Amino acid sequence: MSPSRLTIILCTLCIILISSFSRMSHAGGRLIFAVHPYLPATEIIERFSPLVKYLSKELGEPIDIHISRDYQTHIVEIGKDNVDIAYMGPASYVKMVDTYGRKPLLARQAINGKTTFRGVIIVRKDSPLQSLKDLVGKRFAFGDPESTMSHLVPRFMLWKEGVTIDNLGGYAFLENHHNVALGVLVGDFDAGAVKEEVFDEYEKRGLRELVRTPELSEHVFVASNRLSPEKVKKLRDALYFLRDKEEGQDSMKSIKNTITGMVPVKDEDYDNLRDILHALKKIGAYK
Amino acid sequence: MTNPPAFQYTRTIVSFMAMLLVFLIVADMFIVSNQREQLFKEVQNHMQFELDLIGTFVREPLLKHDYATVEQFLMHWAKEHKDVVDLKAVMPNNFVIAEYSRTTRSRYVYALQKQVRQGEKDLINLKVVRDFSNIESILGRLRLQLIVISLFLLATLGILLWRIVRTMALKPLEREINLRTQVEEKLQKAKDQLEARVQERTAELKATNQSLLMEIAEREKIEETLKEREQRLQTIIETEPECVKILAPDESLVTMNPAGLAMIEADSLEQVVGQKLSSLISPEYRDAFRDLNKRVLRGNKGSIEFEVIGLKGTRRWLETHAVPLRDAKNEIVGLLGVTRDITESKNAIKAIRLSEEKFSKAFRSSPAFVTISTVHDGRFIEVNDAFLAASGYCREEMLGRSSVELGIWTDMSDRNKMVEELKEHGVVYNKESRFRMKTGEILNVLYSAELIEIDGVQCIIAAILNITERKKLENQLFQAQKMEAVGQLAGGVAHDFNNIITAIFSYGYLTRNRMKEDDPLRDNIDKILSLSERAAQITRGLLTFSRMQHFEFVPVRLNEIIRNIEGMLVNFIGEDIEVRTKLSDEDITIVADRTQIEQVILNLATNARDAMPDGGRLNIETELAEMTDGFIKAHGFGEPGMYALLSVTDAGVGMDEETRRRVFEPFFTTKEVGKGTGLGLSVVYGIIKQHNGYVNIYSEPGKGTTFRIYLPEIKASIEREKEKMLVQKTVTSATILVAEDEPAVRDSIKNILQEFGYNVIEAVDGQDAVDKFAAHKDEIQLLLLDVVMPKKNGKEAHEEIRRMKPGIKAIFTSGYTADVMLRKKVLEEDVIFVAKPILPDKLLSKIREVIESER
Repeated sequence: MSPSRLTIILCTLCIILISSFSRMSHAGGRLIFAVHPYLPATEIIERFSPLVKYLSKELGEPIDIHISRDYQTHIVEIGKDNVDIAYMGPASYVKMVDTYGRKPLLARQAINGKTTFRGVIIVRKDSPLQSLKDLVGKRFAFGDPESTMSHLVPRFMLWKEGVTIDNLGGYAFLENHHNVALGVLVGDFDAGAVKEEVFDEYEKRGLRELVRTPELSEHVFVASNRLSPEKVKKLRDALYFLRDKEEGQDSMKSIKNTITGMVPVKDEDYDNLRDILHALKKIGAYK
Repeated sequence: MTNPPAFQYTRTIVSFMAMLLVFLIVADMFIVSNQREQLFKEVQNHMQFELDLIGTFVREPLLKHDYATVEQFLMHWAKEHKDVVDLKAVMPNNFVIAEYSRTTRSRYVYALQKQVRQGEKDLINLKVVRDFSNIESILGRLRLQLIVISLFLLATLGILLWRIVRTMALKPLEREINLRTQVEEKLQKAKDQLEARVQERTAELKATNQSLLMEIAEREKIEETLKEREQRLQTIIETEPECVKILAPDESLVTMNPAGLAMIEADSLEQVVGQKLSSLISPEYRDAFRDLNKRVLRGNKGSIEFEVIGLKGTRRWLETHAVPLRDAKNEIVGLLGVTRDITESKNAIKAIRLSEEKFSKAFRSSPAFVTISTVHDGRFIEVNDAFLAASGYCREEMLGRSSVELGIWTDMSDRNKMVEELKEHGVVYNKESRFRMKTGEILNVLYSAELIEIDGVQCIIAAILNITERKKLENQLFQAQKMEAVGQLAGGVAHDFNNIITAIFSYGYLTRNRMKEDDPLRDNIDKILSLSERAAQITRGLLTFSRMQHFEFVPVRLNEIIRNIEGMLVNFIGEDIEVRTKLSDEDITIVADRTQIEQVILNLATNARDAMPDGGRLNIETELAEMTDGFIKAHGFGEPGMYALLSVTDAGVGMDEETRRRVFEPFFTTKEVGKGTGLGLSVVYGIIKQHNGYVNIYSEPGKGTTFRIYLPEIKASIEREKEKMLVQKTVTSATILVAEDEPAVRDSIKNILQEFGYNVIEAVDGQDAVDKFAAHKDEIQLLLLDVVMPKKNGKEAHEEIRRMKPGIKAIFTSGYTADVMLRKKVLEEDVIFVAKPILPDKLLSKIREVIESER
């Protein structure tokens, strides 16, 4: 192979790589709205499509939905500004800020008027388990390792009660909250951790609450540093006034029926979670 | 007759076609059934294969614990496949991870199952029910196609066969048949003409025969009818309850029916046939009977009543109607008589006459009033002597006039009600009413009435009892019982109140004694004491009414009492009222409590004053009166004997009947609220009753009132008066044992006695009194004992103490008066008694009296 051909091939490869990367960020001038895989992909697309359509209309630019492979990838993608807008869980957000520094915050969701939420450590209705201490030697289901309510906060609570992954009878990361709920229900795990919303959905199918987590700031919409301040302002306005427009209402209800609005948010709102995560880091439960 | 060949061929072709059709149907069914089996097998295999594929697909996520994907996939798959009726994915722990069901009406469903395993481990059990109805619709289409093809084949083959047969066989045959038909038609015509002629002759013969038969039948029918009529007539005569007989022109008997034979007591017709019947007629009617027979045999009709003496001697009353019997030429050939037995009706008339006579006697001589009057206007048709005597009318005044005209009914609605009830039920029993007599006197009556008919006019016969006396006695009894009951009630209430008032009065008294003369609160205490005194007066009034007050009876002169009080009365009732007294010439002595009689006069005078607000005159009279049996019967009260009659009359507003009945009831008053206690006349009643006297009122609204008081008179000249002891506020130092179970009363007595220097030892009941006495035997000089106490009553305690110290003095107290106590045999008659409410002055005076008598 002659050096000129090699050069041509290398150049071509570079162009392909760069174009694919830029397609990720601005796919043909389209913005990317990234969502972490907290639900099965089809469901996420179904839920977020109305919002994306609405934002696109408000911004005057087309926007695509992108579902990250896992929570960690999601953090990297927004951290590195590979995507333009990201819907993030609180823990992912804290980790992202710890690793990549602050990003423009757009809004956080309010559920039934509340801007905080909680998680639930669940067992089956017929389970003899009554407290966190009883979980020693039992099988435990977590969601994604980066998930706030399906791993990090419950992990911290277990540790405080003297239950570590070493003295558990077994554990697994089942990627999403639904898998955790079903994993406990089908009997493969004795207990698991999910957010309130998922617990409410599966409770009637046979789940029981063992413990509820403390209240943490709700999910957040983050913008990439690469978005111009005008666009960031437009996006903030669009989100704040969602509840005033009919299609905005539909978009919120589509994501989650109980969302009542998008409200301004500060980085300090996540300080209590930040403390939990730092504690987990110290004991080596979190990187 | 043979079928035409065309028909025969057609039948053959149709039979063939039918068989072919059956064959085709069977073939179609076989094909469809075969196809269905294959299709079902194919689809089942396909579905099972699909389920196996699903099993393979879900194995991987299950092993990776990706349950959500499995759930979502299964639900999505079930939703997308419209033939999935039911899906259930069950985990090894029986948790249903996915469940979907769809309503279907299809009968063709098939259940499939797949157990997904990984090695020995069960992962999930999939159960699916799917709808096969689309296979049925495919088969339906196939069936339709086969039927259409079969029918087409059948039709084509049928038409082809028919054409062949018609061309080759049917046409030559048709020609020959036409020829034969023409010959047969000619033969038939000749045969028909011959037959018509034969039928004509036969018909003529039949008609002749028929008319002969009809004539014979007609004759037989007439004979039959005649026989029947004769038979019926004979039966009527035989069964006729009246006598039917025929006499010959010489009056001898030709025939007689069984009823006639029974009337003359003949055993058979033969016994009397040919004989003359006049010998059986009672002699006094015999001539008349013969005359009748002769008149009838001359051609007249007639009837007669007569007495017959039967062959066996029985007498009967008969009535005969006779007519001449004529033959076809209208010649008289005998006599037809119909005779009726009228013995019973003759006897009934006799009985009615007898009954009428009896009724008439009973009517006239009945002590009850009996009247007969018409319903529509109430005019008297008859009245008996008793009613005439009571009413004061003579018979001529009453008969022909109505009770309304005479004004007998005081309340006409009573009569209207009686008439209505009579019209409805025909009879009225024991109704009360009031009748006005000629003198204006009103009688209470009890009447019963019944409807009767006299000469076609509806009348009322009424029996009336005069119950005026009975009514009066009933009312008086009721009034007496009511007053007795009210008295008992009032007495009970007064007794309880006495204990309360005693305590109030005692404490008030003590408080006032300890106060300085110029104490500003002294006035309040005086008011409390004054009001307590008034309350005590009311209870005393009630006790007096209920006759529980203790009176001191002594012989007194009634006129003297009135003279003494007369002056006071003028001051008491005011100058507007003039008091006039008219006293009997002789002294009338009665046994009475002087004070109480004065009280009676005062109360009546007060009543009179209130009845005459604009002034008037009050008359007080006394006289000696005798109560005779007649008086008692007329007034409904009293015992025979001599009485002092005290009359108090005012010219005031008077009273109506209702007020008069209730005037003695406690707290009954016609005065305004606060103007009177309503006890004044009750006290009068109580006092008079306790003096074994009677009080009566005569009053009418606007005409004033007279109270008449009857007190038993005695011939006595000795009177005694009792000196009243006045209590002086002195201090002694005697020791008194006070036994009283009511703590408030006990405390108040103790405080009073101590206030006046006495030493007091308390006892809470009878037994306690005995024990305390035993302990302080030498100190105690006097016992103050409540009569009614727990454990031991006052009398029992007293007896026991007397055994320890004979001669110890005792004063008894009780809410009941001494009189009642004596009646209850609780105390002997010589005991010293103080009635409750205990007034301090009275108690202290009594104690002093007893202690001093001992010294």
